[in-house]
Amino acid sequence: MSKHQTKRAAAVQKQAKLEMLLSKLSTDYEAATFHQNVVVADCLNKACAAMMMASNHLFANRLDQFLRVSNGAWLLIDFGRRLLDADAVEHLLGESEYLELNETVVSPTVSVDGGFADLEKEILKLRSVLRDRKKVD
Amino acid sequence: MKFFHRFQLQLIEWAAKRQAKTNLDLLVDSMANSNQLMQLIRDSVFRADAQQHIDSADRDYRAAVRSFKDDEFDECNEFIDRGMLHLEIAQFQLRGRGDEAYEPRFDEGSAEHLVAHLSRSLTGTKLAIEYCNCTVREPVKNGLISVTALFKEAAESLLDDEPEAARRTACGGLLYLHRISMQLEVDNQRTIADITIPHSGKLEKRVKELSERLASCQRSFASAGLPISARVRSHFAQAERDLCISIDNIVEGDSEEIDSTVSAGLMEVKLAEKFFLAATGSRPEEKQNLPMYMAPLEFKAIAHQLLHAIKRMKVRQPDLVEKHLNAAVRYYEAAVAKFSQSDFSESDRLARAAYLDLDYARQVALSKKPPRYLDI
Repeated sequence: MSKHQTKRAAAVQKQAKLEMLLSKLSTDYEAATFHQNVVVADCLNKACAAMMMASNHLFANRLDQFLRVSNGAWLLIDFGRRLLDADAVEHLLGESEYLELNETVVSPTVSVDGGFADLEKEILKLRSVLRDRKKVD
Repeated sequence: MKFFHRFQLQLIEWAAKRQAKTNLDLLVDSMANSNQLMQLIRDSVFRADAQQHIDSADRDYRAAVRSFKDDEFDECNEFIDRGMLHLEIAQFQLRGRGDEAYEPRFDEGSAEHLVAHLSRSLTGTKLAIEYCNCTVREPVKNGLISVTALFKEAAESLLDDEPEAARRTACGGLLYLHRISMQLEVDNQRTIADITIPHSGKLEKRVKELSERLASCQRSFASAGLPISARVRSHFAQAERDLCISIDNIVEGDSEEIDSTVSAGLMEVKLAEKFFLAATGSRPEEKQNLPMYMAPLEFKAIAHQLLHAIKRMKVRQPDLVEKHLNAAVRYYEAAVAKFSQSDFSESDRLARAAYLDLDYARQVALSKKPPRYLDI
């Protein structure tokens, strides 16, 4: 087998393996009804698009580009898998208090309320210092 | 001569046709084998995935036959080639058990290696936090969200064929994570996650140094168990900002400013430590000179931001909110001024007035009930 053929055979196997990993992650994610991790869903979507891109490179015999894109896809699949496994561990052994790694949209009311609370806390702090000073005097 | 040339062309076409026919037969054989395998391995985990490839191979076969009939042999071979690839993948997947692990081998120091390291470190930190049930303050949580965003950005840079950008982004992510791990250690008084940065250069080591100095400074604050003055807090906050700027510069690839920003950050940490030590000194007059409350300028800036947010929310009486918020700021400034003049009674009266106006402004902005002054 020529060097190119060997490289191609390895690429075909890699494509097959990555598709299997992606498929397994997707099945496990759907089965994980205890917690729908948004970051995992995002990784699945991005990895799916990356795999499509990788297969296009493979079928067009652009093996270097295939290698690069498939590596990116693997990183996304692996990250999603690790997050899903961490959630499963927390679900089975912990108290189901998941550490979310996605940005949650805070409503303006909650954010403004937090701002007021921060300022009020500062005034109370000043008054507490004042009370201590009064006692010293 | 002409006849010979024509004969040669016919010979080439005949050979191409013969080759295409052989290839088509091979594709048909392979399709038969795949279908047989589908029948044999009925409980394959990846049956659906393999079926998709077999269907694609079937479409390629039909296209190849059409090209063959049109004497387009090159095109025909391309379709055959695609079909064969689909079948190879399908056969591999049909034999899969579902528990196969796969990890590509990345060269040490490559962008992929660094991005994979970030992925492992970030998920490891998440796992450790959940396992230990440790304290995660809001800034730490937001930091972890930022590192997740950096991981995704790094992976996308790889997909866009920008390995250098991917490397820089992953490195920035690891530096943020390193700072977060230090903060977690300070907040929980034990190591939660140990973050390493492989193949770090001089600049990355400098940023790490600033991160470690910040943590060491926080440990001194915590062990002293004393309130931290506004002056100390302000220097510490500036050092944190310098750290963030340095990391952002690494991500952006703007290395010129990093060294000086880190130096400035280290200087700020030193100042924070110095003023903190002064506050914990034995002479009581030193302690009295250092305020333990928020600086009026900082208070005013936060109130300003709050007012902007309230105006965007389109509340019913924005002018009334503004009036009371401004009054609260003025009272707070006056209270601090009286505090520095050691007029503690007047300062307390003004601080109370600031609280009342602030609470009134909050009611106007957020409550549906008519506002009223509520004392503390």
